[in-house]
Amino acid sequence: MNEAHPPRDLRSAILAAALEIRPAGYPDPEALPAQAAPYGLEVRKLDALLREVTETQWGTTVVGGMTARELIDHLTGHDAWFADALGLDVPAGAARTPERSYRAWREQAFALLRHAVFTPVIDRVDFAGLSMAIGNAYLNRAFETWIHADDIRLATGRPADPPPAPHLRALADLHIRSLPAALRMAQREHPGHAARITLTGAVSEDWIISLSRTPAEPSVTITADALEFCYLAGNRRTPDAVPLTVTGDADIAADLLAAMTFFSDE
Amino acid sequence: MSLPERELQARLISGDEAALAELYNTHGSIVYRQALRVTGDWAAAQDITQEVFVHLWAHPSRFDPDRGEFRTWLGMLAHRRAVDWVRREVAKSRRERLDAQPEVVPGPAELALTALLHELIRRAVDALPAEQRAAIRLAYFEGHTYRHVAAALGIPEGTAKSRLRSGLAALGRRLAAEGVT
Repeated sequence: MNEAHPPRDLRSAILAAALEIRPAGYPDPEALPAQAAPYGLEVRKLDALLREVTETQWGTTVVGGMTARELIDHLTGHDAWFADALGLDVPAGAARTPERSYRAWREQAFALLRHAVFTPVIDRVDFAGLSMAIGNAYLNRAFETWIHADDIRLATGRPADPPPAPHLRALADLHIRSLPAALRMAQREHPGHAARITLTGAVSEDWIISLSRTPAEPSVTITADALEFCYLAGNRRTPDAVPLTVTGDADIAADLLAAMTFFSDE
Repeated sequence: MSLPERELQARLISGDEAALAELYNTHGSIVYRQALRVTGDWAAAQDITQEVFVHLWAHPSRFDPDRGEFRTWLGMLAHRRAVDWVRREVAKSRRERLDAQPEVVPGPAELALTALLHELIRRAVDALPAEQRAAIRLAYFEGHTYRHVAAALGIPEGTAKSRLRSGLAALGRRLAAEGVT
């Protein structure tokens, strides 16, 4: 028995089983920093989705007049801003076929994830005209990847597949923390005021955000379901379509809701 | 801890399947033999080898190069799974025995009683006349049929039958006298 060797075909069986668990080029999710974990999961989910999208569905108009293939190119283009800022190779030129669009997106997304494993997330990066911490940029990518994946899911008769609660919380948190900057950039500052955002549902938490440099008691409270809040931030709901409760200063609330989508497009 | 091991781990974490193939080439046989030594079962050893390397691919970050080498870690994973496999097998065969004959599973008390009975019966058999004793031993302690008993003792089958019958009757009387039956 000591001379025994495993059968020759065990090696290929093991390699095949391993790649079923985790595709080649996709880093160990446990090695990802917390802020890149949501992107890791959403990339994996979109990859699985795109592998089962049919030829016809690739040509289906999904959102904003774009087909699924064009939407993936659009996502790849936005990811490329980030990849470029990190000094990674970016896909060259238009993809033109679903297979090429898929591969270009996948290669770049996997490369971004591999990069996250070995990069401090507190370093800053200039990305889409803003300077942000790399960790926040990964959250931003997770958000757009999820929103577009759901665009394709919903347009092709599949159920929405939102991030799990801890990830949803991180994404909502990023948007809420960005609100003061969004108000400043929209020139809708409210000196001497603060706002409370209360999320319910999958995430149950309160945020108090200062709308000026001086500390203040919240003069407005917006309460919303966490998932609906994220749809609103992702421009997939209009404020009047989201069941919101606003108490306090209605003008500030209106400015906050208008600022929600400041950093999202399409 | 060595630089090549750290590099291999980083490649695994990055999703480089060639790193997994390299590690299998180096340690596959060791892992397999480790599993085989504990389980004694080729199919189980193959399953365990596959589980160990798939685990390595799924969780490369759990390997700590400061605490040992891949060889040691993989061997430990294989050993742990092999021991679990043996435990499951033992539990399974115990369950099967229970399902088959729930009433015959002996506890310590039954085991002690059985030992005592064996001793009493042995003594009763020893006390039988030599001819009956030989027939009884062959038939009831060694599990031979009366035909075999006849052949072994070089006696006609009818004689073997009657010796067994009379031997058992004598044995019964003795055991009754000892208070066993």
